[in-house]
Amino acid sequence: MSSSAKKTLLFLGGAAALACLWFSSPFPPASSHPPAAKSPRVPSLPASAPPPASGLAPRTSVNSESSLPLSGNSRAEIRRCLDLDPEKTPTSLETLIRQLVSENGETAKPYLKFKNVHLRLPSGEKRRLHLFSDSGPDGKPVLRLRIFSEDTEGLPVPLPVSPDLMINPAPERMLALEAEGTRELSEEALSLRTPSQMIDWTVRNGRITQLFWVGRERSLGCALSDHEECDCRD
Amino acid sequence: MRNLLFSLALFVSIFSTAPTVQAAVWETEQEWSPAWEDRYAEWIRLNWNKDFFARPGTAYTGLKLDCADVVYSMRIIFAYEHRLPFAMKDPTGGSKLITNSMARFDALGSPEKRIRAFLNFIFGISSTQSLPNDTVPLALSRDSIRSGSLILTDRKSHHSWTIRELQPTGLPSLIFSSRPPKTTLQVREGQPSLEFTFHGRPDLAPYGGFRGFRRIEDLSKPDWQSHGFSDEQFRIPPREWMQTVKKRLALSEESPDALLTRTLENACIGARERIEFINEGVAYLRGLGSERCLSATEYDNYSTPNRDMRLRNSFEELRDAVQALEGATNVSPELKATAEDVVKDAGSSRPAAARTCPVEIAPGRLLPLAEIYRRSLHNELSDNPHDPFAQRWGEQTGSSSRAKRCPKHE
Repeated sequence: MSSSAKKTLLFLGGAAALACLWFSSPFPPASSHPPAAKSPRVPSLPASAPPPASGLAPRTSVNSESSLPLSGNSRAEIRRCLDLDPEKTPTSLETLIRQLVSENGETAKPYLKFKNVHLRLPSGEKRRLHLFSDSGPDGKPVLRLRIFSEDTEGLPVPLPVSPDLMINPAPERMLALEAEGTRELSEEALSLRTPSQMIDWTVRNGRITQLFWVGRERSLGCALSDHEECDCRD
Repeated sequence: MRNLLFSLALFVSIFSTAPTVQAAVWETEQEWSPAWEDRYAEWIRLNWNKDFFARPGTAYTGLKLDCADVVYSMRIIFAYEHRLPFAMKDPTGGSKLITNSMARFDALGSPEKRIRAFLNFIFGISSTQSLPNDTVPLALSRDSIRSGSLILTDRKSHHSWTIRELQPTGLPSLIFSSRPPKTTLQVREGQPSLEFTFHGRPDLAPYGGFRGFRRIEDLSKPDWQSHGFSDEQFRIPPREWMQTVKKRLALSEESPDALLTRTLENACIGARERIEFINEGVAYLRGLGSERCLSATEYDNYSTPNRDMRLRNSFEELRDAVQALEGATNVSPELKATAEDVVKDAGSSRPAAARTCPVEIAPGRLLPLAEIYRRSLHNELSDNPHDPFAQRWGEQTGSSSRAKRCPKHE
């Protein structure tokens, strides 16, 4: 038998042995199980922690987005669609919003639609925090927190969340959860509505990936993740 | 060497003759097409009723669903039963689509266990917030909006309904659920109010209104590049929206009798559904003793401001219908009298049991719908879970001492 044939047989044998072990094991890999809902892997924080913020207090201010630049292509589309003075074309999301909102003498605070944070824990495990605006039992708006690990397919596996973190978790407790690992992804979708306009945007890893504006009987949608595309409609 | 070869042959033999391992929640054998979309609409119309998850002996028996769960379920269950693909964007920020091909549930032997586990998994990741990513706004036509479409509210209300059937009058028959998740679904005839759906402004709520599931190949595209996308429902002035949409979707005008029947039914169902929610809140409050205030979560669980707003909206719709038909001759006198009993308290001399839609708010305590109508429009129904039974139903007006003392978590 040639050496390459031996290697092939050895490889096949190894694979077959592994396969046998896989199928005969009483403990298949965790990721092939439906999510277990037993011992919470998310640490419970002290009961003396401050109560969760009520309602939908904005967690992000427009000012915090000041470092979000608008790319040249999207700037041109925004200027064209919104009939902006070329000299006043905003270069960042913050200036765009300020310009749109303040020109009508309107004020508004952004509203968090959802926030995703992906972490790599010191143990190597992946953790996802998904905070999103949802309805409470009577349909009232609340911020709801879900926590996930990740399976071998890269899909979320739900983890139990302690009851005091489920609804309207306090910002400092969110920060504590976010500090448990190294951040691998940060995504936020926000929306701002004034009496005459609606602006909606998503930021992924510090970059605007979606922008949507409605007002003055016109709308502008921009998808800015891979190749930039905008759509202006009257 | 011979022994090694024999062992390897044995391993390979065992490996190759082992039963095929399931590699999906269900195998895809069909592809979505206009014909399958037609079958999907018909399946929803014929099968989707409020006991769909309560029927014994199915893979879905006893599942508990909130409003978004109902919307996703209808698509998933039809796809599962007909071997069609299902896919949605990962709302938790992952870059991969969540599909019926996922392998996590392989260890569960039967297809019924896998679909049940998959549905519970989707319930745990989806919400009204994920629906805009997986659906597109539809054109205002009966070709686009039909059984299997959905209605999503603006961000403030966070609600969704499935359209079971679009009536010839242009009004939808809706099936839905709400929080906390329940097995038995709820039904409603007609369009939800503009205030609740769009916060009064369709033009500023581009994620609300009539929507349909995206084609799988469109999940990575912007809205406006997705098949079926139309923004025309956002371009109708708010004051004209309800009538315009109804007309655009109608094959025939709603008759006066149908209008009265529908608005009466909605008001009656809304008032009777309130009984269970108030009873749960009152029982919970009683269990706490007389001192403790509810936490924000407890308050959230047992308060009813949105439910009470929807009930009030249904009474207003009934009142508007009665006013619109004032002096009309093409309406059934009996039906008109039944509606006027509520809106004008026309039957006040009769006992509650003999009046329109008596509502038994407690054993032996019957209120005619007219009285709940009056209390609702006079803001005498309390949505505050710190209030006891009497205040919740407006038997006594004004806040209880506990409701005054304890914080309102709104």
